[in-house]
Amino acid sequence: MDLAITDWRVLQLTVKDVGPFRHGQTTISFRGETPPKGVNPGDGPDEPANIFMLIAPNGIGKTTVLEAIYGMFALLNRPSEGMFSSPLFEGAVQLDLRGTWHIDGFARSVLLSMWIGSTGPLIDWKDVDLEEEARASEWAKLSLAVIAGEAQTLEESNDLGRALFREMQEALKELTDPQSHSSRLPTLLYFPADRSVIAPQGERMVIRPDHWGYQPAHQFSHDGPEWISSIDNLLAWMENIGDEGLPDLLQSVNEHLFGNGSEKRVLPPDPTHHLTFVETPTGFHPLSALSHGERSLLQMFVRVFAHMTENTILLIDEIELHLHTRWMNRMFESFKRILQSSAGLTLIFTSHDRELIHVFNHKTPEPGLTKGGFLITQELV
Amino acid sequence: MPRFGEIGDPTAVENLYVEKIVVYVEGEVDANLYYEIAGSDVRGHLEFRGPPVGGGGSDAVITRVRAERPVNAKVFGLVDGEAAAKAGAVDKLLECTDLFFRLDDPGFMGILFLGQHELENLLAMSGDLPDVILRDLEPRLIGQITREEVEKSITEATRIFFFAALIKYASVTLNHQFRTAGAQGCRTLQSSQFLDRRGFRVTLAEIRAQVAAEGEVTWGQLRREIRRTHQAFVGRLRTAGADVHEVSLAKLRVADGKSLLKLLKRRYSPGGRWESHLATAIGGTDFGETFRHHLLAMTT
Repeated sequence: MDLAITDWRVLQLTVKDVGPFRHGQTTISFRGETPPKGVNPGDGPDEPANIFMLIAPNGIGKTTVLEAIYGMFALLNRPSEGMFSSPLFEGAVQLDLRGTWHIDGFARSVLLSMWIGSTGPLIDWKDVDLEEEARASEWAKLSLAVIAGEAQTLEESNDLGRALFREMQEALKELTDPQSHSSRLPTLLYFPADRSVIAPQGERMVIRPDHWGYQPAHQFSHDGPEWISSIDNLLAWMENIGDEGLPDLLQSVNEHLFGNGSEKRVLPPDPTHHLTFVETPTGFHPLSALSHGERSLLQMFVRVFAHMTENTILLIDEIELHLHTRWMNRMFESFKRILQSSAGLTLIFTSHDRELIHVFNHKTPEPGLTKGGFLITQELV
Repeated sequence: MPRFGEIGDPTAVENLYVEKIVVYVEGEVDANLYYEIAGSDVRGHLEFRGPPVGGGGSDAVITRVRAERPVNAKVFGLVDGEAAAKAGAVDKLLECTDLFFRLDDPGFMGILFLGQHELENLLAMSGDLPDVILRDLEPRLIGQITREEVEKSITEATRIFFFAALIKYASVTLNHQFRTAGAQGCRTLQSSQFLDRRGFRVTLAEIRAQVAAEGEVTWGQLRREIRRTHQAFVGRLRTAGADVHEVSLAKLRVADGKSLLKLLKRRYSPGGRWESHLATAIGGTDFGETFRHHLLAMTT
């Protein structure tokens, strides 16, 4: 079967007895509040957002929501990863996503429900809800369990759900170059709040980096200090294998990291010493000489451009981490531009930064952005 | 109320997110002065803010609080006492013996009214105004003015702007009564008109002429309302056995405080920043502490 997906969006997440969500079932909607500029509000306000801000005081589930979305996709990694892969997990979760599925040349609007911890779905989409609320014509069901460390589909799944599962499993570790089949499959990139950026120490070598190749879910907790997990290694590896995407990746990173017209730019890696330099008005500096904030931005931009597919969900916990307010705003503008030029990308981020609520401004329409936001309050947990 | 769209605009989202008491005041300048009075460490519990839309002033505060209260019970407004006149409740201001008062009207839920005409009155009453004036004299007056002279000027200015405020209250009250009865309202007579350099009597005569020319309310109606308000005000003081000093303070409480300070500044220091000096001096005093406790008690 030839399966490709477009218009991939998260619709909602339902959690039950997960993290702080212990009082019954809670559903977080990822629908937009403001349709893109130029779109009639009547046509768009209920559409799933492609940029979504999640805020909450500490300890009431903001990170749990991101971990749960990541966890559903990470189940499909091999071996399964994330919070639901543990045999100790006792709650239940359902993630609903909508997309246009192109199967053997036919396009259909499909709502995918992935769930774990429950025999049937937590949210049972009736035909009328499927059409009216989800605006989908078909329902793909994927009921999952982890057996011997790997995800298995359970009998409540249906053919559509199993078809996607199979496609994603077969594509595991396939290179995500634009020509590969996996470049059209869904993936998820997760930057947790405890991410650290420490320049790698010690010996440099050409070694296949962590996260290289297609995976349903990637978690980028840290850049360094181990060589294998560093951005330096990723770039050196791409240079070494002659990855044709490297020049475009560097161009995009430079545009978003330093801005157009900047005198600073990341150069292609030096193949002899496996080192990547930044050209500046005062000379050439290795990546390790970048400030903590620059390195943090570098990590995000490189990972996004290196690992995203045509259907990518990007999760960033505490997006302002390591960044001065001016840089935070610049990074946020960059992500908006990336979203505007990448139709299949959705950004869901959390923040404790009050200024960002105003910078995000869910009331102001912008081209190509469907904005949504959710505040988790004590009443929900 | 978790979706942003259900909460309101970004400021409403921020207010609900921070889980603090938010007190809208009539402008950012007022917010800074209130922080000085209440002590900036109050920020851990409470934030003063100017209204994010609709400019400043009591109407913008009241509109904002009405919009946010349904989703956030921690949102309050603190407006000038004179704003009560617009709701037909000037007597509440006149009889107030506390720092703040509220109206029973559900349309004013979450709104605190200052027990003074406005913030400037609170500053003038609670700080040492003569001292601030003497410390901030324009250079040509340094060493030429005594404290007694300043106190006399304050008393004189209070007399003018107490009466000016009564005229304003009367026009606003009549306006409210007319509108409540479904009739056309009348114009508010601004007490700041008495800043006119030509003097009290000229201004009063001009106001009478204005009222007659507009024909929305007669001078007789206006005078009756002024007299009623004045008698109610004086009656309470008599009943309480107030002495001369207490009467003077009571007048300072309801006088047009902004114009009063403007008049004094014109005389002593045109560029004076007395409001901020007074607020700084009040912060940390027993009064500042009382203000803070009362405010927290009325908003939690």
